[in-house]
Amino acid sequence: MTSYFETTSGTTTFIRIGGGVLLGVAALWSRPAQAQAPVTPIVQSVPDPTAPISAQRARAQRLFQALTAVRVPIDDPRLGQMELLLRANRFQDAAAIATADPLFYDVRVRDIARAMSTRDASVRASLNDFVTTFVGVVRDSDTTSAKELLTGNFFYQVDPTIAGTATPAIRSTDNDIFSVAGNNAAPNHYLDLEARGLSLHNVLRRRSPQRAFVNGALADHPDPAGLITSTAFMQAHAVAGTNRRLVEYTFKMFMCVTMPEWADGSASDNRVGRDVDRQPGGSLNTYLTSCKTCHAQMDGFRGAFAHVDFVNGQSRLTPATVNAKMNRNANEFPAGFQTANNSWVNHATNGKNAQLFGWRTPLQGNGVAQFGRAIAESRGFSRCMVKRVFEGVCGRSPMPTEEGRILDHANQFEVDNYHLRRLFERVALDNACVQ
Amino acid sequence: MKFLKSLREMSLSKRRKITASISLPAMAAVMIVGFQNCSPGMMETKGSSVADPNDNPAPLDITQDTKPITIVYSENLLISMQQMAGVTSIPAAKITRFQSAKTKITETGKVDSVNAPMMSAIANTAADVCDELIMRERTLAAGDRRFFGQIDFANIQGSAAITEVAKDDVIRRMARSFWGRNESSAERMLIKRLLDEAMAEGRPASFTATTAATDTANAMLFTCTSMMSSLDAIKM
Repeated sequence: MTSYFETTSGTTTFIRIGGGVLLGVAALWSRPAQAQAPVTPIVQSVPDPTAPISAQRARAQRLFQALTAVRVPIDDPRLGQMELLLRANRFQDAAAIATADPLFYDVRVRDIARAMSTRDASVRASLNDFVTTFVGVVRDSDTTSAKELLTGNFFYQVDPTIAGTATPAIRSTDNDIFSVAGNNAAPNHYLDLEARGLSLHNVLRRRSPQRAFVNGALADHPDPAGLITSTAFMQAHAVAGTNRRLVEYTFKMFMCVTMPEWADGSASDNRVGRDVDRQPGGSLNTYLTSCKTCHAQMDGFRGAFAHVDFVNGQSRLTPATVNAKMNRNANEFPAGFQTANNSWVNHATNGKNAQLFGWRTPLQGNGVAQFGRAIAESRGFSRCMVKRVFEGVCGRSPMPTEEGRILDHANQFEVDNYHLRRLFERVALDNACVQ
Repeated sequence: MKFLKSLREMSLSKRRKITASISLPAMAAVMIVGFQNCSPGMMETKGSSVADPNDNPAPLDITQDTKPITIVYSENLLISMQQMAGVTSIPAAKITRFQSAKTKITETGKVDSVNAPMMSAIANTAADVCDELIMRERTLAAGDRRFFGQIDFANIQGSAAITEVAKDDVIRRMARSFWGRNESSAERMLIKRLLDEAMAEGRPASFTATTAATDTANAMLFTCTSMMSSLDAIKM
C-alpha cells in the first residue's frame, strides 16, 4: 500500500497540481438562489511573497485549520499572531486565537453538532436547535459547563433583534421555533437561519426555558434535559417506534457506544417490555444470548421517556399518561414489563460496562432530566466528548493504543469544569493530533 | 464563464490538450488515492488490521514520522476557497451551482472517498471562486492586488504579454495562499508549461481590446483553478 507523502518526482508533481480546469461545467438552471451573507473575516491585504515561512508559522496554520476546519493562506495575519505566541511557548493562547474566530463555531463546531443531531450522523443535516445549542454552549464555555448539554433547561435561537432585521426576516414565533412544518427537516426559524448564511457565533442567543407541546398546548417543558429534549433530537428519535431509539442514540451520541458495544447478557431483564418475544423462533436461548443482551439495559432506561412522543412535527408530552407506544404489542409476552410511569433503572453496571460508563449518580430515577444527569455526570460522557473533539479536530478516530491519552484529556476536562472550548484547544495542541 | 465560452470556440486540438492536461492528472490522482485500499486516514500500514465486528473502520497503524491527512469536505470547501483567495462573497448563481455540486463532494473528508466526479466538482467550484477573484482584482490598482499585481489585463497582446517574471509572481503568491508553502521549481516549470501550451494554440494573430483582456483573464483563471483544485489546496 502506498502512503501519501511528500515527493519531488516529476510524475507526482504533475499529479499533485493536476486536476485543474475541467471543460464540462454543468449547465446552469434557474431556481431561487440562496443569498450568501459576507463571510467574515476574510483578509485581503497584500502579503510579501518573499517572506520566509517559519516552522512556527506552518504549525500555526495547521493548528488554525484543524480547529476551524477552514484553510487559510500562510500569510494570514491571524497566523502571524499565533506564530508569535508559539515562539513564546504560549501554546494555549495561540490555539485560543483560532477558537475565538467565528470560523471555529460556524464550521468546525457546527459540523460536529450536525453529525450528532440526526440519525444518519451526516454533516449535511439542516441547522436545528440541537446544533445551535451545542454551538452556543461551546461559545459560552466560560459560563456554561458541557454537562448542561444534557441537563440544561435552555436552547439557542437567533437574537430576535437580528432575526427581525435580516432580509428577509427570520421567522421567530414560538411555532416557528418549536414546530416542524410538513416534511421540513427542521423548524422554520432554523431553516431561515441557514438560508441567510449568518454567523452562528455572532447571532445566537440563549433562551430559557425549553418549550414543548404539553397535553396539546405549547408550554414550558416539564422535564428538560438539554439536547436530549431538543426538538431535533426528538424529531430524529422519538417519532413512531417504542422510544427505545432515544436510549440507543443518547448512548451513541453522548457515550460514544453503539448497542453491540454495551450489550450485556448478565444484566437483569426485569424491565424488558411485553413486546419482546422470549422465545423468538421457538428458542429461549436466542432470547437469552441475543435479545436480552441489549433489551435488558435499553428497556431499563426506556421508562425515562414514558411521557414523550414526536407527532406531526411536534415534541409532545403527556405528563399524566404513559404514551401508548411504550406498551404496544403486549401479547408477545404478557408477563413482561409494563410501563406505568417514567421510572427507569440502570442495568448497565455489570462487568465491562461498569468501567466503560463510570456511573456517579443513583442507579435509578424518574424522567428524562434525571436520565440526562446520570449520563452527564458519568465518566463515559467526559471520555465521549474528548473522543468527539478528537475526531473532529484531528480528522481520525483515536487508536486503541491512545486510550490513555483520551482518558488524560477526559481527566483534565473534568478538572476544568467541563470547559468545552478549552478541550478543543488542548486536543489540537496534542502532538498526536496536530504536529 | 467567459473562459468557458472561449473554450468552446477553441480548436479541437487545443481543447484536447487542455482536457488531457487536467483530466489525466485528475484520474491519476483518483487512482493513486482511491484505489489503494487505504485506510480512511490514507496512511502506510504495516500488515493487516482486524476490523471490529461492529463495522467500525479498522484502527490506523500510524507509521513514525508520518501523519494522517484528510481533505476538505462538502461543508467547508467553498469557505476554504474563499479564505484562500480572499473572496468575500459569491453571487447567488454560483452559490446555487455549488449547492448542486455538493452532493458529489465527500461529507467526511476521508481520502478514500475521493473520486472523479468529486474532483470535477471541486475544480468547478475553484473555477467559480477564481473567476470572482479575477473580476475583483482587475478593478484594483496593481499595488492593491494580492495575486495579480504584475498582470496587465489591458495589454493588447493578451496572455502572450505576460512575462516570465509575472508568471512566477502569480504562481508564488498562489502557492503560498492555496498550498501554504512556496512552490518547487519543478512545479513552477510544469504550471508555466501547461499554461503556455493551453493559451498558445489557436491564438489569433491580433486581439481587440476586449478579446485581449479576456485572453489574459483566461490565462489567470487557468492558473488559479489548477492550483486551487490541486491536492495540496484541499488537504487538511
